[in-house]
Amino acid sequence: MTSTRVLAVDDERANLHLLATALRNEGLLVDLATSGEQALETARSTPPDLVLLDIGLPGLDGFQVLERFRQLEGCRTTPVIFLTSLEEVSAKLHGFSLGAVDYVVKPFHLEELRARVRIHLQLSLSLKALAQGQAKRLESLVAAQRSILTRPEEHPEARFSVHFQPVQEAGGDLYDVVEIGPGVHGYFVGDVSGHDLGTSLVASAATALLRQNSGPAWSPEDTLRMINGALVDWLPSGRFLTGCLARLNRNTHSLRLVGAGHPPPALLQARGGVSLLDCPGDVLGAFREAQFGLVERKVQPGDVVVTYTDGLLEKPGRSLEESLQTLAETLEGLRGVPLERLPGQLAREMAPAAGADDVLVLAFAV
Amino acid sequence: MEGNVIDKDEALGRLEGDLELWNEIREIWLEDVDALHQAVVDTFRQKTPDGLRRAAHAIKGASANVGAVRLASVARELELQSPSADWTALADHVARLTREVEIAKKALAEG
Repeated sequence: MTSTRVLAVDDERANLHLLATALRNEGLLVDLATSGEQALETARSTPPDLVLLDIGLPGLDGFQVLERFRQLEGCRTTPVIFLTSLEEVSAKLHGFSLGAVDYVVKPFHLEELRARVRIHLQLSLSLKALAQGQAKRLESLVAAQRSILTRPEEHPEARFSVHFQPVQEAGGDLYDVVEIGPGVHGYFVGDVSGHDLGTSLVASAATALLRQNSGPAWSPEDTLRMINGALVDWLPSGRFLTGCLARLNRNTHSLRLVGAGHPPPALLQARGGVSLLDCPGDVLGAFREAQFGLVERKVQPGDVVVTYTDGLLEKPGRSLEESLQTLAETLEGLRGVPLERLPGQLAREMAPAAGADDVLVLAFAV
Repeated sequence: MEGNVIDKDEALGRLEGDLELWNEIREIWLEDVDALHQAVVDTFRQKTPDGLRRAAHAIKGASANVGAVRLASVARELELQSPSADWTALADHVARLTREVEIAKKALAEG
């Protein structure tokens, strides 16, 4: 408790002297204030770890001080102990309703005061440590998730680039690129429902399933069926995943798209024009007998396929149809932009609602 | 009025027997008590019930802290009575409090 700071607020000098003496003897740093205004000023410049607050202050009373204190940066969860007299039962209840954690009756017994301060400091500091520990574990999870993302420079023969902007540290959008065989690659883009830690875990699991179930022996439909079967057994009710798996065979110039409730990929054709390749189907993880959409078509060298998640299309006041139209027009306008810059530039020009959803764009060239 | 003017043992019990600390708050009380008392007199003269209640509350708290239990008790009665705005009855309370302040000052000045 040596670097822990307590703010003591009382208009009575003798009380402040007692509080300061008792707490400093415990190795605590103690700031003193004789009015609510002074207390708020002190807390604003140096947020305390705990506050001892008299109710009957001149000017702002203890209740008003507590309400304003809670608005200050770094003071929203700081424990506040009221200093009250025995008669103030309703005042104590009101204090609790405003978020005070305890009270000490005046004139106070030093041992009791120190015990209550110690207990609430321990509790508060433990909760802080717990939150910091969780944040650290989340950082590790994010690092682990990012470490398994396939990077374009690791697979130059797959000729893809990606723009990935998660809303939260561990987002629910995912992509992967797998080599099926010489000249044949699979490109997957998915979006897990929800935005929490569970979402991120599902995304990581889906990526692992994709890798386990991809290869020359599996068609893209087989791969999605296998992923779906595993997710149906594993995902809790209400969770699902939309996705689109593209298989490009550069040897035969053929593109095969399998869709699972995902927005249509766009094909920027070298000879001119943008096509939206709609391949509707059931989402992954919700139905055991899911049906997936399928599109097959011939492609030409220089064509670029753009897959993405729905965060790219979301913009207040714009319908899905309008967004898809905007996507096609924007892509047409980006013709000639190098592949490595295309996803990022497309995301910027589509200008989706900031912070509303993850934005993922993956483009690959034939 | 009956009862101890000062209950030093009770005060020392709260302060874990720290006589030095008690002497420190005793000196603070002696420095502050005239102003605290004057606030009672002023708010009584101004006939402001809430002000009188606050002033009585302040002198009650300070006196209880140092162990001036009889003065604290009179101040508490005044605090509880002040919202009544019965100024005739309150005049008696204020007079009693004034007497008790002088008695407590004498007792605490002697240590």
